Amino acid sequence: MNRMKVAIAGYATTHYRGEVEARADELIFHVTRSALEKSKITREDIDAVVIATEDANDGITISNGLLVPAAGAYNRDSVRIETGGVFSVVSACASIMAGQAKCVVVSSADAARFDVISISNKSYDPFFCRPIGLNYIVSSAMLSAQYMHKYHATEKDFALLSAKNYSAAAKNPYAHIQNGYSSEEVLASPIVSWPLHLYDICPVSFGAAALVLVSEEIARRIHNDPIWISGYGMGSEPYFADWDDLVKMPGLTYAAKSAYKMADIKDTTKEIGAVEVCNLASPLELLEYEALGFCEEGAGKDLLNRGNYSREGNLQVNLSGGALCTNGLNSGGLFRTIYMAMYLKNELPNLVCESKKVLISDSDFHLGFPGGYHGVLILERRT
Amino acid sequence: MEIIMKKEYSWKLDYSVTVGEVYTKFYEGLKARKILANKCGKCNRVYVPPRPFCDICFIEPLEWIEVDPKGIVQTYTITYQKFENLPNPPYITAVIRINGSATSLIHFIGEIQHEKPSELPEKIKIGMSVEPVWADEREGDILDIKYFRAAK
Amino acid sequence: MPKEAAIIGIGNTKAGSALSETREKSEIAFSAINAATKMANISIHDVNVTFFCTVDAFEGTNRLDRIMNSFGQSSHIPVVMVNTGGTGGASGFKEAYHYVTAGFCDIAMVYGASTAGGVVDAQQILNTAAPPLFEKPFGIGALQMAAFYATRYMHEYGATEEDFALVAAKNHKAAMKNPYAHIRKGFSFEEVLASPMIGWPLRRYEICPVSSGASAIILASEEKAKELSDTPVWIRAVGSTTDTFQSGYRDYIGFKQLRTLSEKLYHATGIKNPRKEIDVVELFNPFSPFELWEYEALGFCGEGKGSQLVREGITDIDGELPVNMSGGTLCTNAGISASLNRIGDVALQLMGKFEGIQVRSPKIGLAHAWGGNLGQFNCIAILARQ
Repeated sequence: MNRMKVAIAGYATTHYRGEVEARADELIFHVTRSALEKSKITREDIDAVVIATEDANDGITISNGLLVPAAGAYNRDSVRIETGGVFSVVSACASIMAGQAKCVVVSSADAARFDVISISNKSYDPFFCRPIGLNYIVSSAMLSAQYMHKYHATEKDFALLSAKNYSAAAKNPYAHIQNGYSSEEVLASPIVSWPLHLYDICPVSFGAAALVLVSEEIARRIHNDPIWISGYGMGSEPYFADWDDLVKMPGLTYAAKSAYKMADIKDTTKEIGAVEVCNLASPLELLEYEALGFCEEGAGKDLLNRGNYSREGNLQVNLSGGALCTNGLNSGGLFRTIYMAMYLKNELPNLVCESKKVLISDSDFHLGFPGGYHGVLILERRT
Repeated sequence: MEIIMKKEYSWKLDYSVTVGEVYTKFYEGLKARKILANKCGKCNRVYVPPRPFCDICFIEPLEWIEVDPKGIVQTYTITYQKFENLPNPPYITAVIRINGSATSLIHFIGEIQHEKPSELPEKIKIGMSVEPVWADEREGDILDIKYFRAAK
Repeated sequence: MPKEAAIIGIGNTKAGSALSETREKSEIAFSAINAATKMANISIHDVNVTFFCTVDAFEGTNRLDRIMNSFGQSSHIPVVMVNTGGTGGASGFKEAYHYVTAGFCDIAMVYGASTAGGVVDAQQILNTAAPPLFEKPFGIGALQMAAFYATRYMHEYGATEEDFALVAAKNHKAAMKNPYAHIRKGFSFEEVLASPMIGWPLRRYEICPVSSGASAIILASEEKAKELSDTPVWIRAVGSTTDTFQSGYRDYIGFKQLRTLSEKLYHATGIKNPRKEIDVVELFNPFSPFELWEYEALGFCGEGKGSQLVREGITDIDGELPVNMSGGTLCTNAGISASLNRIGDVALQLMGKFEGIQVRSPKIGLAHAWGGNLGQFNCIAILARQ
């Protein structure tokens, strides 16, 4: 297809926490207003709204009814996508590139407390997997164990990875868990589902995020240096799967290939400066490095041990602390996208960005394996 | 200082799902202590659990076969924390490839000798051979298999 | 200049009662998808992206698309799950239309799921959609939502229970000839009027059933459509509109937002006299009186004159503008598939492939979907044979 011509004109996110005092529609209203202000776009200019939530995470059926008006949808086109923040951004891009809209708000919020394990279990089929209590923790653990066996990774490798994320989040004012746990503390935390320790597993975080996407014409008119969406990719993995295939995350590779082609990226580690991957459980990050093509199969932990993924290395991964430190079930994808946008614009304290391109990969791992869907976005600054 | 109120509620909704012809046949097999699979006529993949259609060829796998119920452990975990409505810890969940099936089955592993729960990860090997242990009373459900154990 | 997109394949399953359904959900999907891909002369692996539309709570599994595995996941193609309530199928169709005309893909599939084997008592689910603090406690469900409008309509325009029964009978008569419809009893005007009153002023045969059935539609880019199909149905416009969530804003007199949406799309497609220029229509009528005020909102007649159109036979097969020759949602309400069916049935009519009462040589068709808390959302699609 032709080059993607959609820009991010503005964005806003809350500071994520383990508690929430407002309703989802209130949170969405506030971040949307903030994002519009930052975009220098008025509510009247909004053509459409996309909300990125799942009914189950909202505790309401047809929750888009409550949420789309809070993002300015009254008298306008709206849609609700349940497959995550990146998929929702792509939906907005599609309507803009199709000529149906010039300005689209994409928003999401996490404001309902519920038993996450239970919902994950109810995302499995009722015939084979639900009865045995399968959920995202147990299935992530099994995938991690498989990776350990295949590539001789250890619990210690995973703890090191967790600590890297906690260290990054300690410097991120928007992150939920800012405790900066060390790898010793991670290893000392109780084992929840072997090989996953408590601190290898994401928390449940509350907050909201909104982006304003605009056509090229508006971007050029209003902004002198917008953030461009230069590529996207989406992919899936089959639910009835062979787990020997699953450990390679082929759906993510499929999505990444698409995104790289569109953004004309040939050497990922050279051309991409920072990456956010969805690491609801630490070990998954290693599988994602490989699936995204940053290294050979099985070399993920070697890269980690060589320190290539620390702030001082070539490729910065999970500067936000990733999903391990901030896990908005609905809004995580948008949150990490906004964090990368802020990074590109040098708006983050403690960080200096010298790159032009960043990548965000978002997956629905909170539902568990197999059957995951992946969305990849590449953002670019062109000045 | 104003207090923001919270409203609590829960969904207690009853569901009844149709099992369908293919899974019904599989369930009937379990009742009879058999593991039934179906096979795609085009790619020859064998499916446990059986599939209503071959995902690769998108045609109905019409051939049914009874497979030797032994399987190989592809991966596993031991859960040590108690969660609502889930089994009491510690319990072992494993991904098992039943005898040449193209897809994997997930189930419990039991009868692993150990003194302390922390020993369990070492007692299970990826690649070990397992066989089903059947429940005494079976009603046509995946739990007609109580768990898998190391094959004798 | 945005590209063109066309519908090149439609697949439906024969609808039946949700409670007596024997097929499992992915078996139903396989059936509908097979039919759609066959008509489109493609295989499932030629689809670039699938849009899956349902409401999770109706199905009993969160993110049901995953476990069905019916949409090309084995080839890793993306599946986008769209949930906008009752308008879900139409919303998914709109997404697919955007993707194709944006150049994101050549072939897209939209799947509207049925609620087969879902919740035992659907009304309580709909109750969870109502604003929890101020409306839910009053047992508001779909039935009450419709009844509020019906009562007001009678009050404003002098419409009668007979009017509601007449339009219901028209739908029941048409459904008898449609092999994919659920209720094919052909209830007469007298039988409808004699049926029990469920929620005044709505009677049993004026209220949709809970059906099991699913549908799939294949869209293609202009180039692919011309290559693969002899009967492409071109998509001229698709749009939606959003109302407030709290229904306190509503006045229950007609579907105002639908009127505004229709004016916008008529303007975009150059339609000046919808009743004359449109040849075939499928409207969302889970409750028979909906059809009357949908006629009015869509500009087929003046306000309050909907009943007259039915009495004069204008919206029956021999009339100027046949509406709901499928029997509509009144006779087949297969969950979220119902909103996709409206589009699929119009497309089939335009292709000349409708199995049932086929409208003679239609060139332009309009499909409508409605949903959300008290009709918060409306969708329209305008399709054309040329």
